[in-house]
Amino acid sequence: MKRKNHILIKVLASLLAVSMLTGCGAGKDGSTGSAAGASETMSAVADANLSEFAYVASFADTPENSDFYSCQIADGLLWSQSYEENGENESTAVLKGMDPETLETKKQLKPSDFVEMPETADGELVNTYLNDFGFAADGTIYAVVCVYQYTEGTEDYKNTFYLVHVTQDGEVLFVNDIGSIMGEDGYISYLSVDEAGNIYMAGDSKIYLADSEGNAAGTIDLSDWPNGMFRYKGKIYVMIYGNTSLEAFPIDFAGAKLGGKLNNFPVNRGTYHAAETSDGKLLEYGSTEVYLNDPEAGKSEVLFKWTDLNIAGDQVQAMAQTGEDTYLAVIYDWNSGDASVATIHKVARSEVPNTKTLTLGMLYEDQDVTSTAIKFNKSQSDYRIEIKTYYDWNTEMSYDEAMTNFQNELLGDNPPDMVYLTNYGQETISFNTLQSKGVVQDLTSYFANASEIDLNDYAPEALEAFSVDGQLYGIPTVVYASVPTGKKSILGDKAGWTIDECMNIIEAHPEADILDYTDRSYTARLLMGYSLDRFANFETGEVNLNSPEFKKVLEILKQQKSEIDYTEYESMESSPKRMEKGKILLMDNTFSGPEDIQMYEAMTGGAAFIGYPTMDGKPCYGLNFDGAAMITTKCADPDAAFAFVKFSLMQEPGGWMYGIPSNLTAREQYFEKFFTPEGSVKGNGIGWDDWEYTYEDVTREDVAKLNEFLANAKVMDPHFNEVYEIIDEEAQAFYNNQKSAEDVMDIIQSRVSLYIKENR
Amino acid sequence: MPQTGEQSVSEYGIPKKRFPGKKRENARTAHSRRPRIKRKRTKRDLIAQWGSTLFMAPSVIGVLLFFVIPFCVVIYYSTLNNPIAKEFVGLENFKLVSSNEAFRNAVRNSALFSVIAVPLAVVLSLILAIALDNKIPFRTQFRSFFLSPMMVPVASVVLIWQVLFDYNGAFNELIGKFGLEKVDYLKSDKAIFVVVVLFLWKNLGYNMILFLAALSSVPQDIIEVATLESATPRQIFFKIKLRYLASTMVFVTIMSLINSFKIFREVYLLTTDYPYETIYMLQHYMNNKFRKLDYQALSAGAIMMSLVMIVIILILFAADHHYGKDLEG
Repeated sequence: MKRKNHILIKVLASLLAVSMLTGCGAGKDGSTGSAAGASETMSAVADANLSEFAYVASFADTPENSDFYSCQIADGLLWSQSYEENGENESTAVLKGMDPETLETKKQLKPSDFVEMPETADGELVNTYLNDFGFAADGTIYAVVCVYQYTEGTEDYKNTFYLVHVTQDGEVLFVNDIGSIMGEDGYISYLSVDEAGNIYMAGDSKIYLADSEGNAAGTIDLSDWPNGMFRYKGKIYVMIYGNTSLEAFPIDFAGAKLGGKLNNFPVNRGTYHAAETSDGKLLEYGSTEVYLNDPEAGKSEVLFKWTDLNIAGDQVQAMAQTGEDTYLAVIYDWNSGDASVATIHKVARSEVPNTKTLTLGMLYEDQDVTSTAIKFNKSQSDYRIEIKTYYDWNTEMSYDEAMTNFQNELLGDNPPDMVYLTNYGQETISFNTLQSKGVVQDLTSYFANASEIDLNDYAPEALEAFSVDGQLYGIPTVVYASVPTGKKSILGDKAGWTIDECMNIIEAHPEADILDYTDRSYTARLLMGYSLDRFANFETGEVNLNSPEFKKVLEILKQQKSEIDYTEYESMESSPKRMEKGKILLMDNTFSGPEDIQMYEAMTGGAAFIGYPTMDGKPCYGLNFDGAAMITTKCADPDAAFAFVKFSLMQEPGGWMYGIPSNLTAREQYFEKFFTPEGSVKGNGIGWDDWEYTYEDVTREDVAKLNEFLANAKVMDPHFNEVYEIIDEEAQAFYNNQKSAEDVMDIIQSRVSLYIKENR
Repeated sequence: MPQTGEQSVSEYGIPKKRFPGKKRENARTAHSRRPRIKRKRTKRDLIAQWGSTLFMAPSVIGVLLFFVIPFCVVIYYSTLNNPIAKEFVGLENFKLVSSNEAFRNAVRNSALFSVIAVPLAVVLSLILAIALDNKIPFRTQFRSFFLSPMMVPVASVVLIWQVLFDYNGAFNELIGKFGLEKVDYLKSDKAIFVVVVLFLWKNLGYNMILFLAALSSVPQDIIEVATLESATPRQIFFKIKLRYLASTMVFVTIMSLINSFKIFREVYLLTTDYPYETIYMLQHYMNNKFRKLDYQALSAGAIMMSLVMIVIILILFAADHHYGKDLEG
């Protein structure tokens, strides 16, 4: 009996030991407990990646000057609308049916041929627009045509909307003026047709229903502006943005109302388009991925990522299924005007050439970087740049969480091969942090040996932005300066001032706001952000936060609001008007082009581009940048990564980038455009409700001034935010009249001294 | 006493001989020279050994995984220049950390706090335990009263302390009624005393319970004998009870020392990352380094702190061994 007890005890002990050890295991797929929906998508992605099939794209360039708007596939033709010039300042819509492979125009329809064009008086012009079109089951076309009649130079205009029904050969079946259905300010953006021929027209928070003869059949009020329509399982669905993503609602034609929300739609919060496939599923796509979704069954799969096919997802105008596992995508680059049509089909994974992948990590997806990566991938066949972003739009992830994930991966054992830094987020994951931790590698020798890159051809401020002790880690593609600007009559005719001068002027004008939109943090940034050394010097360890100068700063901050209340400004005059009247001392402007210099001259009646106050009174402006690719220390192939860095620097700055080229040659070309007829800003206007300005030609002096701003620009002190956090915390008692300035300053002095000692 | 040359037999049956110039053999040394007869290990012995190993395995693995290995990783990190390049720099990080003014400030404050708070925690809890060991009225209620701070969550403790000691708190309101000026307790040189009071309030109860348990295990027959021998209560306490409390005192001191470092939690919630300089502790330094991803400085600081703790604890164990050994067996 005793022996049996011993055996039983030992068996139980073993079970206990094993259960404790297995309890330490990770989750099923290594995930750490994300939401069920997200993990299902993730497993779909994983399955796609491990699949024996892949998708590839072949591209056909489009004829020159062709536009592609609102494309659809019907009866084997790619239908797309474009516009033709029709005399001076007039244009007319054209609907073309093209061969999807050759893009040869097979059929062409001009809506202006179907509708009644108005008689025009002198100075009146007419444009014809094709708002949207759809195909009935018999192949005939329904379209909403807008005739826009206006008088140049005035705000007089008139829109007339027609519902048109034509055959593909242009035979008119009916044309109905639907203005009476829509009302005076109505607008239609989308049109869809169901299998019964019923017509659904959506726009301006309404859906207008009509039968196949074009007779009005009802109106449905929507909670918000519609964002598209699609047909699914015989019903027409309208898409409206909910709290986090698009939502789809079936339209009940007979009842003239919406049905309940379609469940399991969309798969990805970034989806903005859906269309039914031949097998009764939904083809959904956004700017990143394409999905096949079966909402009824609750199943979905990722077909591919746009970047895997070297397509910039945000440039995809339309996509449709053309056959089994075959799709067509129309791509239009709004910046360059280039268009192409991609035929996408499924192949065995073994047929896809193997290329080495280099990852480029960034917080959010950036359209210009994606575009550059795609161009790089297309320019050679040895390497692929794969972009990895850390903000998951499909979850409730906060910005801080995303930054933490990004930071943890950069500092972990498997960081991306490259990292792309932008100006925002610098306080959380700054270049200084990455460089001091050895995350990014020194590229000095790479740049020195690159024959295509001449460092002498880059602006010094751009090179300094990512240099430490003479070592260069990256070069930003564009830079821009933030320049506090005010009236010469108040600030004086000078560039640059001391902190004392700044505070004296503020005290002398208590009736004026210091900045146009300001609170304590912005005012503190103005007074201390670029001259923190005056109060807390990290090199010497000296702290002067119990000095009379700092007391003055506190007193100025006390007069400011704790937070900006934007609703207050809605009833106020605009910032330019207030500046004009001297109600604002400074506007903290960013200059990405020389044209705004003349605007501020006009606004102030003589501008002092005075900058941020400094200890010595020399001009000081804020340096900002957009776009710098750096190579991480653990990069698998630094030579290949540098090839991409070089490639990105040699591209023209993308359309979404804000700033002036860092490359001096490119900068000169950029400025020269302003002196050409095409690039002239003369006659362009900018306006607020109560103030407007019409630009004159840019002058060489304006260009020189802008260059001067950049030459004297520097990055804000990286310690300012933490120091200000301590100041703000302690100063609350002073702001609330609970403590004297001296009491508060002593505590601030102690705490900031500690901070400096710890971080020196 | 056997004479020289005479033989006698020890308790183990070993002949004892006394030789001139040679140290007299005693039972212990004789036993150590006795030839060891290795007993053959039976199957039962092997099963027993494997069984005990199996029972101990989860604990050992857990200690290895969650304490020993991470500590070794920390030592490794402290010898690198950064977590990416991983170049060995020897004791460079230790030199940098020990020369940092903020670190020295933190060491000074932590040591001062421990020197003040730990003895107070031990002595006061012992006094409370002695008082409650006697048959006083409402003894059970007092015991619950002193134990209740242990049940209060940290956030609530912080809230209570803010209500009491904030610049606009209850204490300043009270002294204001007597015409005295307000004192910023948490942002002045007085902050250390507030933290000591907080520490004592939180930990006295637990220490008191340990002492109560130790007091109840003192053999009553020895005390009765001492009483019969006309020993005074003072003599009974210092000569008998205190000796029996020696191990518990060592344990309570060690626990109080460890808890004195945990006070960082409450101080951090009261004052955030950079408090007034008199309550800037070692953990503030390490926490801030962790936030700034300076794992090397963090590791070096942690190891230095551990070494000091180990030395202190070894001294305490040695003291316990010296004062408590005659009570064993």
